[in-house]
Amino acid sequence: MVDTLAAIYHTGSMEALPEVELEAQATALRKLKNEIVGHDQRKERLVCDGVVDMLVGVLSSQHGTTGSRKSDANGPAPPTWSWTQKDEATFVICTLANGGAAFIPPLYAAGVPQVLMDLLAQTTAPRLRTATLQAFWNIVSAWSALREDPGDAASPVRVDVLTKEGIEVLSGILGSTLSDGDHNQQLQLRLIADIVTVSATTEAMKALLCQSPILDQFADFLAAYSIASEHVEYYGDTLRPPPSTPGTVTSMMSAICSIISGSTYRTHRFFLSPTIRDLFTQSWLASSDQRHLFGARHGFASTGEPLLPLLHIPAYGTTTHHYGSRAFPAMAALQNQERRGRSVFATITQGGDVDHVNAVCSWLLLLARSMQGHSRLVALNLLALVNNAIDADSFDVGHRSEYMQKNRERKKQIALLGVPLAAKLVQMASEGRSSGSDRSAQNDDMLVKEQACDVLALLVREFDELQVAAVDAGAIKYICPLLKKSFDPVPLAKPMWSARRTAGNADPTTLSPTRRSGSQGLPPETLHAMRCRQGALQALAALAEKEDVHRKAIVEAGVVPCIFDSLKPFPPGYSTGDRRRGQVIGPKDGSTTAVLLAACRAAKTMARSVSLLRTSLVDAGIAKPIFQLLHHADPRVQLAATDACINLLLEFSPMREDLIAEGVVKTLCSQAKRCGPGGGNGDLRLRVSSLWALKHLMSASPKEIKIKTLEELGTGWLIGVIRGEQQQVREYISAPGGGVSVGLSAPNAAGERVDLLNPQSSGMDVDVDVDEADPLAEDDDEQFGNDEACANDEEGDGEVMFDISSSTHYQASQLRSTLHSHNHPPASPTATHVPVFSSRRYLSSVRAIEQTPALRAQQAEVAVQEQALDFIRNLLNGEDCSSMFDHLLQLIGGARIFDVLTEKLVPVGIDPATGNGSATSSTRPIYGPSALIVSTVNILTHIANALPRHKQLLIAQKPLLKAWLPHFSHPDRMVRVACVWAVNSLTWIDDESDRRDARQRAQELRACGIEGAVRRLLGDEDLDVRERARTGVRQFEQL
Amino acid sequence: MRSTHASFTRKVEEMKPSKSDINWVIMDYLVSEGYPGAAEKFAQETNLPGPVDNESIRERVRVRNAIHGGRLDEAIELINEIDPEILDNNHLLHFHLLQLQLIEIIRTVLAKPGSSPAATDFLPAIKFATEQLSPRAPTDPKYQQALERTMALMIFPPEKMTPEFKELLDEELRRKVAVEVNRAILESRGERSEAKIRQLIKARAWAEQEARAAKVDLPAYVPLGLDAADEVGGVDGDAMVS
Repeated sequence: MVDTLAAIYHTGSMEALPEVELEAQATALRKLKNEIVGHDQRKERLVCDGVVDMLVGVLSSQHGTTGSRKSDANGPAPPTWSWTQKDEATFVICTLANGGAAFIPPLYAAGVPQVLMDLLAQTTAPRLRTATLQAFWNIVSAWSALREDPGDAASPVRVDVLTKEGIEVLSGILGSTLSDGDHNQQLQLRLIADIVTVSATTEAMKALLCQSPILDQFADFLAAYSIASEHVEYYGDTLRPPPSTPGTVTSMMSAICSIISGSTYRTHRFFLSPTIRDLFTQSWLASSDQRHLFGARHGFASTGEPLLPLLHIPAYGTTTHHYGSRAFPAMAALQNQERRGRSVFATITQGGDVDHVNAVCSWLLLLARSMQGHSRLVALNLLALVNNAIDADSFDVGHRSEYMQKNRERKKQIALLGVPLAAKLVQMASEGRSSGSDRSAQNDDMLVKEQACDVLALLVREFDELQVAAVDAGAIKYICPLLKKSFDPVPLAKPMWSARRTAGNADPTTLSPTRRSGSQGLPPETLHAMRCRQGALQALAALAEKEDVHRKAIVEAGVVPCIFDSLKPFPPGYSTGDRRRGQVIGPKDGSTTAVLLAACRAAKTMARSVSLLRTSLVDAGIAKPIFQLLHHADPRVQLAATDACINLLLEFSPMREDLIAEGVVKTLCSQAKRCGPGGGNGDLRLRVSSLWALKHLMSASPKEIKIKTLEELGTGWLIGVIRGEQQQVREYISAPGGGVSVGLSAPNAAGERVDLLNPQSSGMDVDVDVDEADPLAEDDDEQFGNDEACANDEEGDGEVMFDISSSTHYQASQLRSTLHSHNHPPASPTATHVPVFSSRRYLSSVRAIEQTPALRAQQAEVAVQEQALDFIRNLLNGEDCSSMFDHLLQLIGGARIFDVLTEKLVPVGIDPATGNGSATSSTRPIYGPSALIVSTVNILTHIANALPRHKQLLIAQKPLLKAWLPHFSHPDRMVRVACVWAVNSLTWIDDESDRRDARQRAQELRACGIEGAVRRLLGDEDLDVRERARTGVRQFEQL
Repeated sequence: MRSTHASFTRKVEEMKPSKSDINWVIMDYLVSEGYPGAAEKFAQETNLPGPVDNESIRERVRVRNAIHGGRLDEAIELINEIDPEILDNNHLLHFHLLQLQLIEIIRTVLAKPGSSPAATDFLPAIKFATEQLSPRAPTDPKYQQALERTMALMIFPPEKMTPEFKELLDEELRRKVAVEVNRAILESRGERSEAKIRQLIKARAWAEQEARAAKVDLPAYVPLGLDAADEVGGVDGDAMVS
């Protein structure tokens, strides 16, 4: 039969085909299909014989004829032979792509994805459409498996499969009206959702998908499904008919997850989409002010009776939040600034509709509870994404306790109803319980096994309350066996037997790319183990984030060696050629990039425990593999390894010496210096992490190390980093017509500075900031109105994002001032007035915060500067403070040092809002972000702690003192505390000989108004500030 | 004892499943098991809406008939016509069909009049096995064993075969594979792969087992009422007493 086929094929190859009767061609293609279905070896041979080119010829040769047909017939094209022939050709492609990753390179080389998309755009015939989508899906799914392969990174298959036009075509199909029970249409919906799920991998692709109507369309389907399942009694206009099979709903939820993951804005786009808003406003409850009945307290009482268990959550009188770790309650004082970074978000978006988000979360919980297995997991995934995105803006809105309480209720609801579900799924995966014996059930089990841990991690990441809930549900107990099992050798599928001895008689490299099949990628069994391992590590990293108890439990489960083993990449010689010769890569041989990233994250969070750092982690020898990963080719791995290094270089870490001996100083310094100005965000993140690690290295190090590191970095470079690029930011702000309307901080109504950019502040004297929440990725916390970004707002959900002339941001500042400055009465009526929620404006502000490149660059800059300043601060800290300062004076020069410090304290610009402001006449200065001010003032403290002559040097810097003064009334208490500490150091009397100088210093301080500022702080709202101020005043009085 | 039985029977009597529900279950059975003609007639008699997609039922009937008739190549082509994914992804099912095809080839040779077939008569069978079945054989022991057994049919004369080989020649095997295929086709269309009534019967058996394990008072034998034997020969006659 093969021979007859070959005969047909050869007569009908390339040139001859068009001339063959179409009918005969269709028959030949059908025969071809029957020949290769289920026979992977024959597929390979066919590709070698050039079948791909021929198929592309068949599919695209029709373009001319179909074009004319399309113009004269509106309905579905008649089932002529040409269509049948296309059907068959598409089926052959389907079958080829099913053969796995090896067939993807030839299919790509022949441009098959594009051909399929073109075909999809032209045809309306349901059968051909389904077949085309199926072929596309087969290609995409094999493609995604190939991307996880650690093999050649430069392969052409790394490009995105979907194009803008392709997305339009898909969305057109989704939008076409459904006829009830049409099998083909239902299948198409599912295939489209699956295609989107897998291809939405890059940020650019996700953004494209988010801009297309696809996201809203999926949301529509989900809402329709919920109405049909009577979760919500809906009285609005009839929506589209719901997807009829539960599988389709799951696929659509996965697709939504894929699109929205990684962006707060996109997540908001999803849950604020019109249908989902209508779902809760047009329901039985009818009016929007009844929507609280959807919340936790009323258990989603959408149909009159609660569909979820009712939760009674006591209201807290105050809006305290559990900060810090249980092991170090005192840390709370340092850490409660931790998430302030998001507060600006909160203030401008405080119109965020808490009833709506609570309803959405309850609804997703209800969906999860109504489903089983993988579907349930996907629903939980969606819930986690929504909850994380909401949290980004709901924090720290203490002025509305009702709002706070509702947020607490949501969190509690997820802790009680959501997390245990996820933990249960992890348990199922861990115990290998199967939900059935048929193929779909087995597939379901496999997906649960691969993804359950990941979803749990996503759900609890960043919420200590949820982490505790997960551990209470036994999560650690179930995750650890999964991690261990991922190292077990798996029986790999044995190769097929062939009657012909050698398949490749020709040298494969001489074949054209469309005939040469590629590597088969990792065996599916190994890939499965990798995915399980990656998930388990993610989950452990998330659980070990905050609680020492959890870290201990993880250690006791004996998985630290597994983390160590997971830090090993596949051997460099790994290639497909080796495997042909019989050497098979199993799960024990290494880890894929995704696993390496997860392992670094796990090592990072585990290393936050001081005791583990000094015991289990040293014993496991975790430093060495991490150091090796610093040199990994993938920049993402480098970054993750650097992050993990940060904690290993702490003063009390026993691994510090080893790492220094390995040459970590040189590596980190070169990493920090690698990217030039204007480099991408990724590069700056590496710089931040490297500087962070070096900063830790500086604290309590021997003098030689300090000097050597400084030398390696170069003082010129360091000073350049601290000051240099801020110039650009300034220019940007002052650039005419555009730019950022509100700078790094803005004054409020009372004329005080209000911080708008307020990233994570660091600790006190010795900066052991163990918590390095990525300052760039998520903390997009800045208010602005960038006209340029508005212009780019292609998707048309935006009016102007931030109308400068409107009072919005101004008002936001006011609200914030009532938060921070209790000295002022919560004044004007506008401050308490809550504007009517407008999802459009809200969305555009969320988007603006997240996506404007200038802001992102600026934030990256600030983070770098903060670390650089803290580097100097730690350099000066400790016994050899004075000699180090002398060293700096010698290298940089006193004038330059103080110039730079002054520069950090003076205003960076003038608030443009005041230019057209109605009420105020004076121009109000904008200061740099408080993190930078804290760091700068802390450096002053250290200088003041050096020798008396250094104190004298500092007190002689009149411009510096002048620039410093306004910060004593800074709204951020961390700044105020730092200021008073510095004064206390300055007025300290070293010995008797210093008394006269000390008195003179006090006079200087009095003269420039600093003493008065300290005295005013005696009545500060913050206890810490008051106590320091008291010491300060006493010292003044003793002089 | 009698009283508990009476109460059980009363409870059974009290449960009055609606006629339309029962009709729906019957219709579902006819559709998923592939009886398009019966389904249409039944729809007319009961005023139920007819099967939505009659063509898809007929497709499955054609496949089933082909398998029952031993025309496996035709069956495989028909399945590929419905959806090539089915066999391309389900290697086991594909293997079963090919195995059946091999058996049919051997069967024709064995059935030839004449005493014993010459070795050369088996050449097509061997060629078929080499090309179609053996590539898959080393990947899993179950394939290998199935192939070996099938090949053994060529060695033993039919009258000397042990039962395990005989059952390969039994037409029951065709029916078994046909059921598998029907299920796979239904699954590929995202429909339930089994008639609802099968699930109901399984659920009933499970419930009875659970109830007995929990020592709930039940009659010793609860007939299904499907077989005539059930009606008459209820073990202790309880069903008749009431």
